[in-house]
Amino acid sequence: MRLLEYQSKRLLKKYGTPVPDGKIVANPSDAKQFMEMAKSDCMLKAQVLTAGRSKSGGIKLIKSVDEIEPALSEMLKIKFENFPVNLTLIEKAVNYKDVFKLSLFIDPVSAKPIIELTYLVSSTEEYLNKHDQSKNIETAEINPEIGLLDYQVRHLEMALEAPREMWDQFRQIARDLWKMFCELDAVYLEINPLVLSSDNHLMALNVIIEIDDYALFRQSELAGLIDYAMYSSLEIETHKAGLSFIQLDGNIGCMANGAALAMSTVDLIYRKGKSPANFLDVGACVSAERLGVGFRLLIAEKNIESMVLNYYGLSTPCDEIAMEILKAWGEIGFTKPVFVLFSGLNSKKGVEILRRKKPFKAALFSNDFSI
Amino acid sequence: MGNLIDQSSKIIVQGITGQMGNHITRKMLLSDIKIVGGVSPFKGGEWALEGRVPVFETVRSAINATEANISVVIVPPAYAAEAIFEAINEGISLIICITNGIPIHDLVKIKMYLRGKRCRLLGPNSPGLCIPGQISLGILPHDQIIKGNIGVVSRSSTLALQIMDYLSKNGYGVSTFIGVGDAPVLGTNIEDVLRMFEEDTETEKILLVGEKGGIQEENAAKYFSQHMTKPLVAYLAGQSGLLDPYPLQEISTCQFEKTSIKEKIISLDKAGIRVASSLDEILSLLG
Repeated sequence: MRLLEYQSKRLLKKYGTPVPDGKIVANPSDAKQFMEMAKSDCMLKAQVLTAGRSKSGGIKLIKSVDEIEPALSEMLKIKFENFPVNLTLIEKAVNYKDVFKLSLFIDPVSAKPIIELTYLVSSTEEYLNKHDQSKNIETAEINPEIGLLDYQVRHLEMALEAPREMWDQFRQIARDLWKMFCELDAVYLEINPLVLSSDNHLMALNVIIEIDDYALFRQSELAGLIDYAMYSSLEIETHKAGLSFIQLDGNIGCMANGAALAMSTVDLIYRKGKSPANFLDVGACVSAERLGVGFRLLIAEKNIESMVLNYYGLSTPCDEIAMEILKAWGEIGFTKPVFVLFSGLNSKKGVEILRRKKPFKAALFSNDFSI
Repeated sequence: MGNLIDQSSKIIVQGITGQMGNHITRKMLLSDIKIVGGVSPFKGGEWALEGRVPVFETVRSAINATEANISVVIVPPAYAAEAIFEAINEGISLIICITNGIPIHDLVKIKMYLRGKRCRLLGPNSPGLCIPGQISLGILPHDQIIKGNIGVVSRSSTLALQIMDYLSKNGYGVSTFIGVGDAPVLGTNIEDVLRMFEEDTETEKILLVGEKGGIQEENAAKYFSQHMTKPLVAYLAGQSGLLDPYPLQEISTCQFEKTSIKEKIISLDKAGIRVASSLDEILSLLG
């Protein structure tokens, strides 16, 4: 689960890392009020989760109060990868001389936490001429039992010849970030850019925080930060039902019990030259009831003209699933064709139950089924 | 696979009194394996499954009473890491963790804790392992997989089962099935299983059922090209590429989702692993 910039900055602040003074605004008068009090240039930033905001007009430098109204109204109209802008963040602009990127993540190969510092831009020509691009990144592997050690931070600073004025502040920020990483069950933390201001203060101008979805049960405050406005009602409903759903572009609904089975079913539909509308995994050991919830949600979607259910009877046998979807048909009375592929426990029984029941076309799983 | 598990192995189930624990143990009891006890805090002294399996308070008391050396962990995500630490500490030699959804920070600590210990963890989110005709541990159906000479290793459960069904209908049997599970950090990697299959006398060919995301298959490909002699065929779920990182995943947050499926297939190809693009092709590639 990724947090919006302003949410991430609030957390950074809580953990002690400096961020620019700022305020969430959705209308020009709030923004003007902030700028008048700030008495400085400001940055207006769209609060969306996608990358590359500045390229698409999501980040603007505002030099006078008059610029606010047109800039804000324009920004609120932009769609970033189909996500609307509901909120913007207005901040005091910062003059800076050195730019870094600081990130914390778990290395997939070693399964260890890694802290990575990148020197992006230097104010001194000297530095840029001395070093080639590939030598401006340093990492340190953190022992999760012991935590980030000060000497590791010094290694990063020395390797990149970071300005001495920032060393103490950087050590504190690195410690804050590591603490945050652990306490919030973060899978990814990135401060980019981390700038050294003209008056030698390190400050986080933008931060990305991604929280482990599987840890939300023990992060109740963070779980409450999910912005439901970003998701479609189908995404929200399937999520509530504990199902794993991804929207695609096509018109053939797709569901299966098991992530890889569901992916494979998307592939199957694609290989037959058709267009899958979605990915939906109801879980390998799903109950008939829960599968029924997913089924009813999917069949109701307007863009879906037909559906494929690929089910392997594991803990719930195929005949129980057949009864459940038959029940759904009894309730809703849809006419869209539903292709059911059964394998595993009681697969033959399942196929029998759906035989000659329009609109179902059930068969034992095989490579050639026609949809 | 005798050094991993055999029919004389004694098995306990951590989480036996939970709904999933009860259901899965019931299925496992249909086969010939020896489930000698269960572990459930605050329920020590009770009996599970209509008096068939004694429940112990701790892994230690279970081992003292039964000499068990293998544990199947079916404990909810919030408590699974603790159950695994307990099993490792008490000398269990093989842990099969069925639980799905353990937080990644817990997995990092578990992986670290396993170093230097004589304990193998399969999973988490593993469907189990099966030696047809002998042993079936986990959520696998005990009598559906036919014996043969193909070692099958998989991240998935139902897809692998559907494929093995398809194999058996066409006369191909399985020497051993091992489900490594599907989590960002696994106790046993695909390459570890390949090593086991290379040494296993019953296995002549290997089928790898992989999927998009993560780097398990790439690491396995590297291992294969450097150390293996037995032929390897792979089937990857997500080959269509339709599910490759979508807008919200774009930023490097998911380090585990960084490679595209096309890159994954190229890695396997380069290593000499034949990648099937359909179930029929799996059969023809296995020969």
